[in-house]
Amino acid sequence: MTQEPPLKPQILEELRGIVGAENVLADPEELLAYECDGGTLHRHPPDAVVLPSSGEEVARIIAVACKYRIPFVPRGAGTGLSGGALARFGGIVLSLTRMKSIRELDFENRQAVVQPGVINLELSTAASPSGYYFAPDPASQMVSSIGGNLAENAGGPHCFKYGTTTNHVVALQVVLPSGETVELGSRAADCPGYDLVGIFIGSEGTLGVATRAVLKLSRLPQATRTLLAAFESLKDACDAVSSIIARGIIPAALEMMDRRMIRAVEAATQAGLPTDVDAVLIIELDGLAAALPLQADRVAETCLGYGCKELRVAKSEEERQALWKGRKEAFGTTGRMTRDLYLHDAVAPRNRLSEVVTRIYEIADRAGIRLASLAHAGDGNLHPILLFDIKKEGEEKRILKLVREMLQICVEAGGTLSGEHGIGSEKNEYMDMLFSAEDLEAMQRVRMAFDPDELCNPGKILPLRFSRFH
Amino acid sequence: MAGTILEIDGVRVEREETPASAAELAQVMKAAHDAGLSMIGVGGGTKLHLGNPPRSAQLAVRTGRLRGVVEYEPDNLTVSVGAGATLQELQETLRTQNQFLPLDPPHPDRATLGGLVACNTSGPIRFRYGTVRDMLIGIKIVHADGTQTKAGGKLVKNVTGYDMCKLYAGSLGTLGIFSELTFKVQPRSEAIATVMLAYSSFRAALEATQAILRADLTPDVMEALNCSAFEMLTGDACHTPWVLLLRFGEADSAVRWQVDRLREITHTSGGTVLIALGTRESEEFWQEAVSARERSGGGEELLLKCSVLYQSAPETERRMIEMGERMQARTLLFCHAGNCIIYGRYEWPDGSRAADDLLREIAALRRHCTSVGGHVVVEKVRLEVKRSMDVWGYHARALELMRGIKKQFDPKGLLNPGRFVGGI
Repeated sequence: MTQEPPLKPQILEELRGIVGAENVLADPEELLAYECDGGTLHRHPPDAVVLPSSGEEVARIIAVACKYRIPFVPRGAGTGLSGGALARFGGIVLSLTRMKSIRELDFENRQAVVQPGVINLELSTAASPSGYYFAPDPASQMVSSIGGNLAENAGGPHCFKYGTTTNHVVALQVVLPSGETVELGSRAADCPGYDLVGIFIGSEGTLGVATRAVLKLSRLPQATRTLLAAFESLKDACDAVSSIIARGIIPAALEMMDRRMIRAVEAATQAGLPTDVDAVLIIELDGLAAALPLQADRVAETCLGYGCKELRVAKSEEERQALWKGRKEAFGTTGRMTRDLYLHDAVAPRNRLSEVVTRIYEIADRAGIRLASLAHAGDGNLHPILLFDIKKEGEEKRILKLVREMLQICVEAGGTLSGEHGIGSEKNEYMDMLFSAEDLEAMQRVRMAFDPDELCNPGKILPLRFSRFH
Repeated sequence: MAGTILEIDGVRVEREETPASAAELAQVMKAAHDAGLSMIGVGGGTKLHLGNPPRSAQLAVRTGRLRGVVEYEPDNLTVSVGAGATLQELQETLRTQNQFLPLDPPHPDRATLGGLVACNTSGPIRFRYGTVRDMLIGIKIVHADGTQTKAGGKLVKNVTGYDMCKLYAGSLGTLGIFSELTFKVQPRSEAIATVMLAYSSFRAALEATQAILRADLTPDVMEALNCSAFEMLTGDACHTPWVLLLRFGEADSAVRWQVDRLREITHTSGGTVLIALGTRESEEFWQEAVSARERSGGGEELLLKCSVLYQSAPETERRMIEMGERMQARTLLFCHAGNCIIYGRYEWPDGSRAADDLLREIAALRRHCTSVGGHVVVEKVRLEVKRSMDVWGYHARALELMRGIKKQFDPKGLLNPGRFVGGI
């Protein structure tokens, strides 16, 4: 089937009737801001952007989309990195940024009720005076929205200990692709039936639009201890990570940066990172104050056993924040190193980290592409950043080939295609590297149960041959 | 149980197969599918009472020969295991590396991992570690027509496609039969302590749990038992209406700090410390305790699982106690106090309560729980009663979506027909 035609004036009028003229964008210049997400390799503008303010409005917009069989794409803050919020085949982008109210903080049940446009960090900020927070902490948490976190099953440094978004969601209100509003799960534990909350989270906006979420709040840890360990080789750092895990220590976060990354971060933030080493680990322990000294000693001992050259313990909250500032802003500092970049997201089993990382650097060297690397090492989640200049002859092709080869290395080691950025329209054609036709058909069945007409965020996750837009 | 022909809720199974590999499982299921036979996956048979009576059960597919540990990687904290392995077998393997799977359902010696995942069974330790959905990271499954698929992997972080593991966990064998499961495991705690506190009411015990969390304690378990439940568990006379059981698992220093702190705050919450157990005693105690809610006391039994929110829990408890009084039943309440799940176990001499009375009582309790946003699942009840009710009591709009999923995966309706929500 070919692409749908652009929206007729009558349809735009109907949409304006629902949300008001000021909340419907259809001017090509305005639409440009919505032609991609945080990953910029793929672009396609929508035919219109609609900004609803309530679940009812979302349902009415989707009813219009259904009536005219127009594809629609839910969008949060647009910080995604896999082209998930991209209107690949045109249609309506449903921007949920106006739905940003925290409806309820229920500390007795440790639950928060929020609209999808609430910014991740704002929820923790609101809950923290009472001693609670929302555990998933993607690096984008200052700007990314809960709705986007749900769609991508967002991770973050601290999901090593606390799990990803899916482990922190209790129930959802969702407008289905049919326009019908349903409650998935329940605020009381163990809702009978299939775990629809579980299948919805991480579905990248292809199964409907979450209009309200009940999230789990976690108790803030009593104490935190943050260490920085510097290593002369990446391999030593990786081996130290595997060894910490094997010793039964579960740090709250276990992050790694390579030499090029360290230097860029240091130049930008002056956090005082050692710049003459090949790798640093940022290791955060949290929990009961009584448990931390021994754990910190064991971590230190393990790092020293792998030739750690320098070991620092943050002595104050400011020092801790300085270490994290460097890590959280690391991606933002890459602009200093390059004209263009590609932030990769791949996963290896944690006990094979060292060999996978070594091979990734080897093939990048061979291809003549510079790398800077971040990793949620404790989860085996690697973020090599490819640095290049797209204007160079054949560069884009070289990059895409390298991206694919890196995934191949991870898959061969028992890893996977994405740890937290999602498949979107970026990696959907790679799904065959990992899954059989039958595996993918099982996923397609889920999609068909929710969205038989394929109107909701078409052309994502599964290879395009599964799509009617193919 | 092996060798005997099963009967499930009065429906006699006609034939049994016990495949020795995933490939054999697929063959068996394909043949059954082509012949139009209904299939019921059976693990250790500890949860055969769960669900509505099946519409049909022509073939029981036993997973008892799919039981080896396929791959255990202690330094990745993951393990892949055949669906027919018992939890206890797996725990023995994990223990050699000082690790464990944080699931503590009843009957770990017989309950298989496939069965635990299918039934989404949990126990008290879920307060700290969550339920099956939080630890299942990979799966191999055979669908109704014999098609084998996999999902997830052996990675703790994975957003590659739909999170199918979540869909299959708790699906009660209605979407397929599992052949292999991969879990995220945890290091065992260095030290464990269990402290039992006496309270004059359920409300007081529940309020104490809030005080405990506000005091920065991080228990693994917060389990409240009424007097009858505690007596049944320990065999000793109980002199208090409610007992709150707390379990702490951490490094030794942190466990000691928590127990000391708990003693300090307990008197302000109106509680009294009954007893504190050390590591080994705790392990032994919880081994027994997890099965208590399903331990038959002879005579007839009714087992209900009520889930509500914190604010409604005391009222729910009151109604559960009053219901027992009206039925002149021995009423044992086991509450996962941190999650507000109350298991009510009612016992009385065989056949001495009219089916209509039971139906009316269950319906009244369910109306209350539903009205406050909760649910009641009837886990065990006399067959005559079960035939006249829906044990799940789930009627939300999302049911249509669930039916749609079932239809996509098992259009002929051959897998465990009729047992799940809405007759799925």
